[in-house]
Formats: sequence, structure tokens, C-alpha cells
Amino acid sequence: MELFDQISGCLTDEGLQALADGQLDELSRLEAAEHLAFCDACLDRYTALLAGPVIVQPPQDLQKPVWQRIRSQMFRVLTNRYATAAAAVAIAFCLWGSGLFQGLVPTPDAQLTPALQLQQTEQTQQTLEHRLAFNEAARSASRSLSSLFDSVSDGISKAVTSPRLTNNPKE
Amino acid sequence: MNSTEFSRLMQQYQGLVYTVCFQLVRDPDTAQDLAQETFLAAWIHLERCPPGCEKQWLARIAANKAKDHLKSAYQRRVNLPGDEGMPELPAPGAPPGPPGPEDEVLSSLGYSDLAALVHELREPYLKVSELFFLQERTVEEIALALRRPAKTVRTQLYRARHILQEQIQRKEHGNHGTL
Repeated sequence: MELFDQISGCLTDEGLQALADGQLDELSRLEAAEHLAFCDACLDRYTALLAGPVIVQPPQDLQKPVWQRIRSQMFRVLTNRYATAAAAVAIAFCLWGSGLFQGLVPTPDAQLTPALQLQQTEQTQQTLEHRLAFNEAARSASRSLSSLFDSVSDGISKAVTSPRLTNNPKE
Repeated sequence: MNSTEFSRLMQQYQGLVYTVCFQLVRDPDTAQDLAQETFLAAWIHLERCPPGCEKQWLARIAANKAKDHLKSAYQRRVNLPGDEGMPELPAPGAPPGPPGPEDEVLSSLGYSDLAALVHELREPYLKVSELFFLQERTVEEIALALRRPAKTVRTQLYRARHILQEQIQRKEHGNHGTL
């Protein structure tokens, strides 16, 4: 029995039938699977054979285990995303706490000296007011982040230094 | 396709998918597991399913899953390099890497001897071997000419090389036996 046609390189009819009848050894089944994985014509001929009594139902219904696997896959993807976001926030806190961003938010004195204000036109004055508002907002955010960082740092240090809580009452 | 429609698809084709897996791997537990993996992959890549071709699409995924399983089982047993971790076949004319024993055996043959051995090969190894060993075409050129994936061509070439080496050794033993 020839599994493949020597001219076309495709699976023969008798080869496909032998596959369906379970008469192929392991290497031949591997070669057939490799061919069916890319050849549309042979896949069409093979699926045409799979009809009626040839179809074997799985020992256990696939619906429940497949949905379980889909749910666990989606959970893994979601948790990976949240873990990445949490890591990014933690890094941002660390960098903020190290004072790396201090120079990025200018102080009001450096930005709006009285001499500078006198030289501004009305338009410039409006622009300056916007910048002032932006600076104020940035400083406010900075203060909030700093206090949040301090409280998180305090919380972590307390958690580390406090006695460990266990379910074992003897400890 | 929403989850209800996918459930319906699963209900309709679970027999087909399981049958493809079972006919290829011949083990009920493995076939059950591969059928689950087929539907999991189908759910993940649902947008790639051509409308109206669900049966062929699912059968192809099932054949791919069975192929991966059979290939790893075959490689473990035969200890023959497969796609993963397999050293790249050098392109003809390219500087070769350090020759292995199989390369030495093959390169020691004259063209006519090698051609005679190659022409004894059966498909799916005959055409890839003719193009690679005799016409010195690259894997990519062969994949294009035969409309086979390059990975499959590489795997077939490695198996072909293994078969050729066995043929040479068999003939050598035969010659020694007659002396």
C-alpha cells in the first residue's frame, strides 16, 4: 500500500482509507498528519470520508472541560495583565520615592517672579495663569503621590516589622 | 461568534475532531486531550475561521495537534532532530558547519551513487531530496516549489538524510558480507 502518490506527492485514496481503518504505523500516521496540516485538497478528501458511522464520539463530552480550560486561560491572561500593571505602579512609586522626579515640577518662585509678571501682556498673562494652574495641579498631584508613597512605605515597614499572623494559635 | 454559538459548534463537531485525533494517535486518552486542545486553540483563533469552512478548519487544527504530539513522541523514541532546536540545514553553496558522521557518509558518495539512492526514496521524501541533495536548492526554494511549509521541508529532509544513511550502511554491510 502506497500512502503517498509518487507523482503528486499527495495522500492516496487507499492511504486515507488505511488511516481511517487504523492500519498505519506511527511513522506513517505522522507523515499523514504533516501532510494534512498543509494540503487543502487532501484535507477535503479526508473530511469527506469522516461521516456517518465512521465518526467516533469522545468518551467524555468535551464541552465542560474545554470551557474550564478557556476560563483558566482567560484568567491567566487577565492576571498577567494586572501583574504587569501592578509592577509598573510599584516601579513608579520606587522612582518617585527616590526623588528622581523632583526637578521636573518647578516651584512658583522660579516660574513667576514679580518682575516677570510686570512684563507680560494680557495674552501672556492668560498663558501664565494657565501655566500657574498647571503647576499648581502638578504640585498637588506630586504632594498626593508623595503622601501615598509615604503611607505605602509605612504600611510595608509596619507589615514587615509586626509579628507574623498565622492560623496556628501556638505561634 | 459568541460563547453560545461556539458551544453549538463544539457540540456539532466534537465527534469529528475526536475522530481525527484518534485516527492519528490511536490512543483514546491522548485523543480526548488533543480534541480539547483543538477547541481551545479554535476559541483563541476564532477570527481566523473561514465562514462556512468550520469542519475543514477544525479538522486542520486537530491534524496539527496530532502532528505535534506524534512528532515529539517519534523524536523521543528515535532521537532524531525535529523542528524545535534542530540545527538549520546549510544552504547549498553556503559555508558548512562542522560535518557530522551522516554528512561525511553522504559527501563521500559520487553524484550518480547519491542520485541512485535518492531515487529509491518514497514520498514524502523523494521530491524534497531530489531538490536539496541533487539540485542543491535551498529549503525556502523547495518549500515554494512544492507548496509545503519550510518547517515541514526541513523535517522531511532530516528524515530523508537518516533514511539515506541507513541505506548506505545496509549496502556497505551487504558488500562486506559478500567479500
